[in-house]
Amino acid sequence: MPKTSLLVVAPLFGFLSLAGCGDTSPSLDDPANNTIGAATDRATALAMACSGCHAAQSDAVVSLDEYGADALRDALRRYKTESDGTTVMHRLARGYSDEDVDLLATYFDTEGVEP
Amino acid sequence: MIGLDRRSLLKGLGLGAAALTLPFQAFARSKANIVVIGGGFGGASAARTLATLLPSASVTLVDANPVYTACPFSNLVLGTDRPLSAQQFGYDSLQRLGVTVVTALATDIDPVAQTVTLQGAEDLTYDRLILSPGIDMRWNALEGYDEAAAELLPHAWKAGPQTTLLRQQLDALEDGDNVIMSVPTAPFRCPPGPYERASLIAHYLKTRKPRSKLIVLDAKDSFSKMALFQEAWSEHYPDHLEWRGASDDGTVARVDAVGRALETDFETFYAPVINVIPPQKTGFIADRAGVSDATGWCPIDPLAFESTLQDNIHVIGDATIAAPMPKSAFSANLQAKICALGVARLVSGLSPEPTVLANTCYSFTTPDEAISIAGVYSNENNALKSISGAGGVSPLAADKTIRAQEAAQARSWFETITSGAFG
Repeated sequence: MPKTSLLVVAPLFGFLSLAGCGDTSPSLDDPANNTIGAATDRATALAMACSGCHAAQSDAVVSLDEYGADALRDALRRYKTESDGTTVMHRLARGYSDEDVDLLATYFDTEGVEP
Repeated sequence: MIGLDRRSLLKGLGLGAAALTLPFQAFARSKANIVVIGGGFGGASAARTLATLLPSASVTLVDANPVYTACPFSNLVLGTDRPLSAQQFGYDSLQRLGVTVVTALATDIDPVAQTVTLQGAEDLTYDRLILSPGIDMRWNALEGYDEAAAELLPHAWKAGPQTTLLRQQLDALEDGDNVIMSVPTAPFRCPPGPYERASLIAHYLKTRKPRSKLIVLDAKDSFSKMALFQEAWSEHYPDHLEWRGASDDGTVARVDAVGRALETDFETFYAPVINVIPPQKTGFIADRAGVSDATGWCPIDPLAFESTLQDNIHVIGDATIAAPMPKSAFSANLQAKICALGVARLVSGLSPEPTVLANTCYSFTTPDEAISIAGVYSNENNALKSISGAGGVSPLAADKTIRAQEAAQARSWFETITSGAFG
């Protein structure tokens, strides 16, 4: 999970300028807040859009867990670049940068992860 | 471990093969007190995401009803044998996740004291409030159409008893008598919804009352997926569906509910069954919270869907001013998740971050064929913006198999999104 360390650190800069948040007392020293940074990072937020349709395998929609990172990256890039493609996935993939495609491909990679 | 945690979150939200069990890993120790009002595709999903992200926080979901009746696919209840029970979902799984579910009508909100008044239950306080109130009808905005009129001429634009009433009226229709539908100007819940409904009512008439016809009186001259719908209508329903736009005297100016009549500028239309889709606004509790503006809808900063009018209140779903993102169940559900990520960050001392959002809406043109529209949106700089080059609708003049595939995708989407929100 190479990108998480960056995403854990980056949001901490934002914290210094924030006023109080309800009755919570966030602390820079609290590792729980680092974990929230990772649990809400860009890859997670991007993947939320996929979760509207892609869960368990159905006859019509694939489970993203069954792709490896490379295969998912290739599939999304193909959807993005096939100029005559008309499926929902073609229309959606054209809205994502190569960097975001990479984040999503890595995010859904199940290698070494227990289900 | 961090990667594992992120994956567990998505699995807990229904994105993964083993979606139903959720490992309670302590992401954060925030003791924040978060109240969500409205248990539809937005509110249920916001509560679930927050309970998953912040297991130490207090997450309360408030809805007036113990069972939610979903609007997507309810046009199939009107036009086919789909039962209304297939639209209904409870909140048991949210309670198992640790969400406190309160069945009570929220009647008032004090945004300064940060309190919620409930009818027949203890008042609530909040650190952060998420409103997912859906729509209310703007009674009498269309002259003659009020709550009493809706019992005679149903809107069926909130699924439930109104859906059943309209279906009963269709079942009682004499073959040869007509059905009329009135459609308002935008914005309203589910932009392609009236035209999916028109398609499926026309299907109902074609198969069960073949001498009857549906007349759609529209206050607009163009609508969502228009070319695709009109292509389907000329193929399937040339004798059962007539659409009249605003420039063809389609704008309904007045309703006579008792007389079962709709009046345009130049004509009066009578029919035993009339479906009036009225002008709409945000659910009233948003007005009580002071988060709606003169348009009747709620302005938000789409980074975390925070109200621009009140502190510590977020608004998601149909109630928001989120165009170009449409008022759809898909949008409400995704806005809920992005809002929940933002709220989890805010109560943990982190700032919300920009992301990319998307929407996909399928519409049935027959029980076995569907068409779709998709969009992709950025949420930076205080505005949702369509990402250029992305999005669009199904191809025209497509092979039947493409329409059947999109119908299968639509059914799969309904299963996924309802099990993700309620299952």
